[in-house]
Amino acid sequence: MARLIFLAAASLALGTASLVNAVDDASLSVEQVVGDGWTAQDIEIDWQLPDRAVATIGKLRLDALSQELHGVRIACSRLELSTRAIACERARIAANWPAIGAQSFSAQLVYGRSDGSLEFAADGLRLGRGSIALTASLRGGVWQAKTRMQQVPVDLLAKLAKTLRLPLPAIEATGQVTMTAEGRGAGGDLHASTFDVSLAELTLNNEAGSIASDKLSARVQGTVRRSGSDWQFDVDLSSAQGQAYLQPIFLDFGAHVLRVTAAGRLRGTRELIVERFVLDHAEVAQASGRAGIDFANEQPLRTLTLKLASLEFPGAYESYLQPLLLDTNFKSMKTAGKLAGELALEDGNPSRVDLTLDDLTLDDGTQKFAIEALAGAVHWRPDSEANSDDSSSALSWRGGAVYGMAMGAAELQFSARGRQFRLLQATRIPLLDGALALESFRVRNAGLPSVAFMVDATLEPIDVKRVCQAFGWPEFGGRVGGTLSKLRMREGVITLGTTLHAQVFDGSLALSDLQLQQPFGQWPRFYSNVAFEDLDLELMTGAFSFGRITGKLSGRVDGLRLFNWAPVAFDAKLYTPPGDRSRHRISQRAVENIGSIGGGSAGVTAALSSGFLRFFDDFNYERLGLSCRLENNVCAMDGIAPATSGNYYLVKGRGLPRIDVIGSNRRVDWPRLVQQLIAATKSGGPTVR
Amino acid sequence: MLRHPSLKLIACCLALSACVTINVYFPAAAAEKAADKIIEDVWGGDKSAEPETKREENKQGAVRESSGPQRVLLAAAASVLDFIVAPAHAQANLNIDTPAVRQLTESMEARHAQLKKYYDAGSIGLTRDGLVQVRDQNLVPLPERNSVRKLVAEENADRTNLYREIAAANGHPEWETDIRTTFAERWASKAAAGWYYQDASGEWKQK
Repeated sequence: MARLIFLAAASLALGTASLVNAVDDASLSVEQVVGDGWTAQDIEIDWQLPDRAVATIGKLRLDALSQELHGVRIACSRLELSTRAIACERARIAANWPAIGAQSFSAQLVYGRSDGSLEFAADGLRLGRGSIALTASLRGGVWQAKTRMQQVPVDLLAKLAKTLRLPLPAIEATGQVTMTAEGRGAGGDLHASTFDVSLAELTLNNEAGSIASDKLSARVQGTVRRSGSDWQFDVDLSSAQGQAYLQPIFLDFGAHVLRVTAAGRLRGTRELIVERFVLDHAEVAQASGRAGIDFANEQPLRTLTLKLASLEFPGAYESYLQPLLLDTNFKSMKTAGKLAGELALEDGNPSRVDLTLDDLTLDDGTQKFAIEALAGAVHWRPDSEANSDDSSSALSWRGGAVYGMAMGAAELQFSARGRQFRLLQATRIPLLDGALALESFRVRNAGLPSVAFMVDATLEPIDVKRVCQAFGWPEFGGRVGGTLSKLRMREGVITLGTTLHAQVFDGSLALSDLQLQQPFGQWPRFYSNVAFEDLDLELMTGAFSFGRITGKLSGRVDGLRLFNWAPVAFDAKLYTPPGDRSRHRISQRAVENIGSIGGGSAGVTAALSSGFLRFFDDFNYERLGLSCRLENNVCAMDGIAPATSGNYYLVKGRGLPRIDVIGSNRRVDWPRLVQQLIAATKSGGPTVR
Repeated sequence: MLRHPSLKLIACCLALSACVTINVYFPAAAAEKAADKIIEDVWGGDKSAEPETKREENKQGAVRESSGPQRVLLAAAASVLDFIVAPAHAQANLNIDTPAVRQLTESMEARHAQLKKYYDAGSIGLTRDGLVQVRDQNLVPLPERNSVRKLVAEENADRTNLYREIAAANGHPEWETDIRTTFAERWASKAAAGWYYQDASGEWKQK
């Protein structure tokens, strides 16, 4: 229903040019005109008969724009007045719209006198350097509009949107928009719209920097339609230029072209139902599926069916996985390969994961962890389906490394249920020149801080020398092996319930109370108590080129603490086992080296190189030994027996020529001692002439 | 009343020994010195003075145990008991010359070459709990945002380990918080002009 209300007295003044001539000029003042969806105030119409008119409107209010236009001047060169309508085919309109500044453009205006309808077409609206064309009609409170924008600055458009009270997040943006859009609605409400938007050079950021883009070009096409309180949408987005950051995901569309199509419904402001989506991220991911999102829920993604046609590495790792792994030790991996699969989420909880891995290679670059050509299938089910044991998983790999130790090809058959993983079949993983034979392996609470695992395995003897190389320790020969049972990890600490035995230098070595903290962290801490028995000194000194000693050596290292595999503390005692009946000989060079440990290097060298001792290559000894308690880089040193003036015996000689090595230094600087030992084993040692 | 003086004396002794609490004060001044030394290493202080300081620290390390009691508080009977029990508990200096601390320091020093420009730009800042935090992500170019977050995560892991290791190396794991607080204050006060740090209330301030 159209209404035309004159609220105040309208005054009409007829100007006369002369008394004889007919009326050729008229001016009209109207205080207010109210139509459906619009209001005009302070109207002055200057009418130059027959069909030229200039109207000025002090304030024009359009409900759809939620804003007042000031100083609107409509110059009409050909005004049509009929009983049906007031129309102006070619009007020049000048107006001051606070949101976009002063405008002057050509337009076409038709006002329906009977129904109060308004039709409007404008071209040449300027917004910054961009231009806007607009056609709109308003009839019975329902409006229809079509707009075409070319190179309109985004920042000005955002300002305009703000004045139109459109819900926009607080974002600073620059760039240009070129678009065509059609819409219809009533009052301030949009009912349906079709749009094709091209964004160019879009650079934006929110205040926190968690959402940002840089010189992004993108095209968004789609439709939105209101049905009741729902919005139906069908959108197609693609980008091949620029970068975007949606914390923690960084996407470089220039490197990997992205195209997403999605259709669904937005129910109220809470619930988003994506009935179908297709993601095509070049060389990164191809996926499709559907999803249900509840914004009010703590875990907004309620349902998801995702079909991963392909996840390609390294693209997928760099784009999607790495940012999520920044707090873990898998944050800087080199990756290659592919994986595909399906995953589902029901009620906010994962309900199914089926993945097929295709020659996936992961390498942390430090050889601490690497796996080559990982392939197979993983089928994960939640706890509730634990009894339907129909889908076991299998993974195999061609090679890899753990803690710098080369790992050979192997295959694991396991079940993955809820937070539990269980090895289904014993397997053998080659490690260096030996292997780790896994009898059982179980993981509980995977993904929780309380993650725990239990291993029963046998370490088939491996070359100690290669283990030493891997950890950067002095290399010595022998083999290490044994049973690993009750190997557990809890709260990030690995403990071994059994004692690990090694056969080295014809003797035995036992590692007990083994504990490893932050095993995959940057700074692993290792604790253990070590005991060894009847090591053959001849083999040992030969291996270290320390100077030949024959005989046996026993001892223990208690409270051994390694930080990043370097000793920080221990309490060590090494000695000739009591009752040892083997031949006890010690060479000149060994005597000197031992002497240097005890701080009597110069004296020993002097004693050996003078007098008759220099005619002997080696000497008999009764027993030898030393103790060192390392703490704060200082080794508190002692020998096998006290000697005079607070000194101690390191080597007690026997027979003739008799030689005793006596230490005097009880506090030895550990780094210097290590340097000395390395120098002693590397150089040929001082020559005795 | 004076019939059982010996009993009284025993009772007195028992009472005294029962309520003796030995608190070893956190050696704040020594911790500051230790922190400054490490911060100079990490951020690159006056290189010429370094070797000498190092040697001195070593010497101190070696003779530390004989340096005697300091800063020992006895809740009850002060001086007499001090003489008896102090030497076992007192700690005058903070030892930072351990392989763990050295490795952590070197790791942080190497990382600083990458972090420096973000301190300079104000995109990261020093927090009041002795760590590093992304302060204004918008100052970091998009492709670098995740690598900054990674560097910050790694730096914080090192710093947390550092505070823990210093406390452990000095036989007082419970000092970790105090060491962290000391470091937080020293990082902030040694920060270069233009860098950001958090004040005690958590507000960002620029040097």
